[in-house]
Amino acid sequence: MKKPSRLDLIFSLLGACLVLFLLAPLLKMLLGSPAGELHDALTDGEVRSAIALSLTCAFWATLIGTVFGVPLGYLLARRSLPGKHFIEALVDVPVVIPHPVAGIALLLVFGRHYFGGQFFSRFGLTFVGEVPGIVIAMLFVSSSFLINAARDGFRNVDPRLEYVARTLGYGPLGAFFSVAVPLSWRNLLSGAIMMWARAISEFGAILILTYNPKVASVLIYDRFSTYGLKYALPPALALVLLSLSVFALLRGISLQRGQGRAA
Amino acid sequence: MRAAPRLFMVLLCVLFGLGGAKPSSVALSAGTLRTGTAGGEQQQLIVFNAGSLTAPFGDLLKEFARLHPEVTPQQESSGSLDLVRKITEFGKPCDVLAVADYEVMPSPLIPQYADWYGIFARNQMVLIYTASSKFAGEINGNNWYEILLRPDVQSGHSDPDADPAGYRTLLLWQLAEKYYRKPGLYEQLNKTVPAKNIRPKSVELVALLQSGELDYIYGYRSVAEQGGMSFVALPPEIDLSEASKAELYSTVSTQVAGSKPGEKKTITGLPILFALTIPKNAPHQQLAEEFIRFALSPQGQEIMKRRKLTLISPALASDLEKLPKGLRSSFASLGKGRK
Amino acid sequence: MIRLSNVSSRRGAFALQSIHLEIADGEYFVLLGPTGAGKTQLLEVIAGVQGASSGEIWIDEENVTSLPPEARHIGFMYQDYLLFPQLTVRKNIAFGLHEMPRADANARVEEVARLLKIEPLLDRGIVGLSGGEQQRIALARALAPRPRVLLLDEPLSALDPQIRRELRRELRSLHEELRVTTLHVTHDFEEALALADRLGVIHEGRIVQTGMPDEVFRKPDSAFLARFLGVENLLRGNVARCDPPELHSGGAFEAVFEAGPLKLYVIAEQEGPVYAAIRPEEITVSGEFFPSSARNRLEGTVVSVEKVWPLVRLTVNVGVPLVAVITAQSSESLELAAGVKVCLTIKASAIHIF
Repeated sequence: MKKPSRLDLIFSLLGACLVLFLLAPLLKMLLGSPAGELHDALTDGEVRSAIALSLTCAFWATLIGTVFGVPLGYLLARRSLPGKHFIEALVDVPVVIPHPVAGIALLLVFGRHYFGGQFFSRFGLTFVGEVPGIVIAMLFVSSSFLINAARDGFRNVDPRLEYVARTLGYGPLGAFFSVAVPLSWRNLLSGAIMMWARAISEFGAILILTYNPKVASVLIYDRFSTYGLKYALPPALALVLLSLSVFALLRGISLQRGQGRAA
Repeated sequence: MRAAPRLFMVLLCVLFGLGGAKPSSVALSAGTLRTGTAGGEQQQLIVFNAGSLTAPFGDLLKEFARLHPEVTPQQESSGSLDLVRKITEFGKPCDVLAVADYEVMPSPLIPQYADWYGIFARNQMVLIYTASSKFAGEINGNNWYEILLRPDVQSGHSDPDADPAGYRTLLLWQLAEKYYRKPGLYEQLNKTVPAKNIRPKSVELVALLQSGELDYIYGYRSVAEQGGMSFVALPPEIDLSEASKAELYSTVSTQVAGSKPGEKKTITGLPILFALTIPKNAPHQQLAEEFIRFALSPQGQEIMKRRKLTLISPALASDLEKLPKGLRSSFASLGKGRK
Repeated sequence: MIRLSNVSSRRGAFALQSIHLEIADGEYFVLLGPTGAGKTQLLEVIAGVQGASSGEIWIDEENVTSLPPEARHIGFMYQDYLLFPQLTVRKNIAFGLHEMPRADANARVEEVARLLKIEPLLDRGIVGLSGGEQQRIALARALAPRPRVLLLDEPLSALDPQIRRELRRELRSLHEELRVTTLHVTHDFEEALALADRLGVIHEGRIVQTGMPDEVFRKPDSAFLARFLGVENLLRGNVARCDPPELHSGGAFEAVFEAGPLKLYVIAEQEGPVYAAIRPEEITVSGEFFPSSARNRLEGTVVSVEKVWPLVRLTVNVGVPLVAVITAQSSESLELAAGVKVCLTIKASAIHIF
């Protein structure tokens, strides 16, 4: 058996510290909620609809992010656009903006007196105090994960593979779908998962735009400030466990596909 | 392109100007006021205050630190209930606690976490609006409800379960129904604020008001004045502002979230009074007393008035016997009930 | 047929300048050039994958200059094959057959696989295939849609010498059978000689010479070319007519070439400063002089003996160093080693002046 090198020891030690750091609060949460209360939380109608709303809105945000963000990622990976560096920096900005500021910024565009709000209200779509407001808040803070993952995924695909597809009769769009996407789908999926995760956890921006109906993060905060920690933990835990299972499922799919390859 | 970064800077300033965006935060915008010191030990002074007291107490602490360079103030702002919870549930150290709703003092703080409290300022419910609010030119203390009932006027208040200003709005509506002798007015006014116009705290409401999403919001006069915003003063019979009308206020009540989800508790109308105390386990008792003495001194009162706080002078203590000796001279007894 | 007229293109550090090229129907044309000369870029421009900034490209009498790659009907093969890793061999080969009905496509795939002897591989994945196998699959993929022309970018460069030779033969026989107009670029001149119907040389984005392979090879047009093609003895000097002058046909005359202490009899077409190129194989090495028709006899000392079995490369100092190549057997029988005196014999006609 190979003796562990010094690198193994040092890195394991450092890594273990971080893993413990992440694990301890989660364990505390788990242990702090007796099973009975967790069950109550899961059967509480308000908690369930809040979690359902979170899941639904995050799904829509991720869908919109995919439809618009994957093409953007492709352009960023393949083309040298004018102002490309600016766009790449811009894509990362929402991640560093304090969340309530993001909410206010969105309010100033999609509020009923502003251009975005007025434009969409023509189609019967309003944002403030409505579900679409939740979706755009989520989209704003989380889309950069997807865009960057898409861009990096496409960068890892040799563009010459697409050229070969072109010489074999595929147009640019055909080459995209038959070569670029199949070869980067894992990155795209990973990016979508990250985006979805970030969307579900969003709080500050959503709070400004749409407090009612309440998504899970808002409800948990509400429970905490109104009733105290004891009543905030169970729905928080319910959300964490649910998200964990979705992650595990999706990551499992991406791994399994990799091993089942006829390669 | 250049506008984007600038806009965000403006937004950041707006946000901090609104007195802190994070609902529950540690050391907000007024944050950690540090003063240089030539040498000698630094002493901390930990102050928990309600959101509406952030500005006046921030100024007080700045001046106090200037006079006492060895003191490092640590200011934490949040909702009154959050502050109390930090002390009772988390055991966080606190030297001076100042809330916007004095009723949290007798319960749950006393007797386990504090022995006394002092009332030093009052507030009133007003309607806050901007120049672009509908019918802004017309509205006054008499026709306000009639205007709010007009179609397409958007009003909002904070969440009654989460913020006292929220349930105070409901109480205000009930008092208005009585005062104006308009049965059904409560229900009508209730309908003018649908769930989508409710936000946890006044901070978020102000954002909606200033962006034109709402025309009128119910809030404290101190918040309106601190923010330089226009407001409609309402009759004292309904705006919970006067201690002398406490009996009138107590004729209305409403149900808000109790101690557990699904539970409700009844809140009876009370005048809005700011109260402070030194929790029992304050780590810097002496310093806390010195600060309160300073705050209630003519100089301190001047500072608070500049921040639009309506003071009650002299401040009234719940139990003179239980007051620390050093503060006996700063308070009169609550029993005397001067306004 | 492929015709390029005045094609230029610039991409980053690489530029093609005023390329003129004509390849006849069914011709196997090899473009020879060192790395970085613009070979891949030229192929990509013909394929339409890169744009030309000026000039025209014609394929089979059709002006394809403004057509996108998918409309040009060309077959393309990159040096590293670039098979689609997510597809099986069969699906790779069938990739260009998406317009055909399924049954026809399958039949075509089998046909091409048979041609390239890769039938047993059809249902495998791409991982774990050898270089030679990948190359055949890439070829099959390019040929399956029956392209008008075939563009090959260093198809054999990534292979072991053994496989390389084998595949070279197969490429040749494949071409005999299919007769597809082929443009094959490489830096290996042996490969070029073995495969080309006609040859071109590209250097720094320009085509510097085209012609029949042995023409180009024996009479390189430029110093660069001479060096690149492995002409090891390149001398700079001056040519002056002989006295008395003896004329040869076509205006060439006997002359004397001088480079430092070296003097050689050569056939030249003009006087003045020139390059003289001598292929190492054209220098005869002996222990003593022997009667021969060669006009140049030089005495010199062996400087180094390099064994490149089955040959030996000798560097001999005759005033300037010259490199000669002889068989290992000869080298042994002459007992050649550093310091030994030898005689070099070179025919005047073997010295290429340019």
